[in-house]
Amino acid sequence: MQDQLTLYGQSFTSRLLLGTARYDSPSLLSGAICAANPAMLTVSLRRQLSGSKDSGQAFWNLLRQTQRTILPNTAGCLSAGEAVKTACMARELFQTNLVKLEVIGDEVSLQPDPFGVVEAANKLVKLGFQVLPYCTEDWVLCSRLMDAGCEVLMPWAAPIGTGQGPRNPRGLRELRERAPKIPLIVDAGIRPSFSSLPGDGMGIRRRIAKHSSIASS
Amino acid sequence: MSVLVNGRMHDLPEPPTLAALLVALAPPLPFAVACNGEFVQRGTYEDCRIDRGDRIDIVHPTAGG
Repeated sequence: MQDQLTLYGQSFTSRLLLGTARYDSPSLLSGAICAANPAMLTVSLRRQLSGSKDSGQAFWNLLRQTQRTILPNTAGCLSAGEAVKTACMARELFQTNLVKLEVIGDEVSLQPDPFGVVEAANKLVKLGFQVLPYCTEDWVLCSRLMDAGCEVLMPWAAPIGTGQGPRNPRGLRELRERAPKIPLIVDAGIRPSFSSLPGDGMGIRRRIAKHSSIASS
Repeated sequence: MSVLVNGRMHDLPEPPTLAALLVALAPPLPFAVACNGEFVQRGTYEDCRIDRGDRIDIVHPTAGG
């Protein structure tokens, strides 16, 4: 496996993507970024008019100071149209064509909506976005996303927040075998314990941190 | 006459444009805007006329995974 990860022509020495949510303080997040040295930071958008203006500005300043590649997501979107709108707003805010596309189909498991995510990916690629779709390991879904122009896939290991580790390691392995060149970023449900992860021979590097995704290519 | 901003009712400004609404609301920077589910590009707020019942989304960067 090569040490360098290339996503949409951009090369990274790290294969780790670090989420920015659920840190107790900005300083803890800042420390985690320094310690993890991730390829990208994932961020989100929220609707707000009033409240703590300082906290939003502090987060924005922290992002700028880290000088990391930012990967905005479309978290919370339940339809393709909503995801496209959110991606467009994120592109203007963060000045990047990269987007982690999330269209949720089930509010209990937060499982991706395969129909919505393909519809949104088709539209976003035509709008010039570099789409990293959050998906499952389902081969037909993944092949439709590649047909849409996605050059990276983000299959889940298990439902978000469960920490179960890969529910379907065989499916992930087959996805790796059938699409050997596309970067796969295993996202969600990653088991926190490094030593207890299954998947030897899956071709997926096992490197774990809190709120993270890992890439294989 | 009012519009729905992030799910809450607000008075429609004069002139009834997105630019005037944003001046009145003064959301913290940075932000991006959508009107009735469609993204509105910065620089076009003056041209974006709004009407009673329109749904405006104003979003800001936040932590996420």
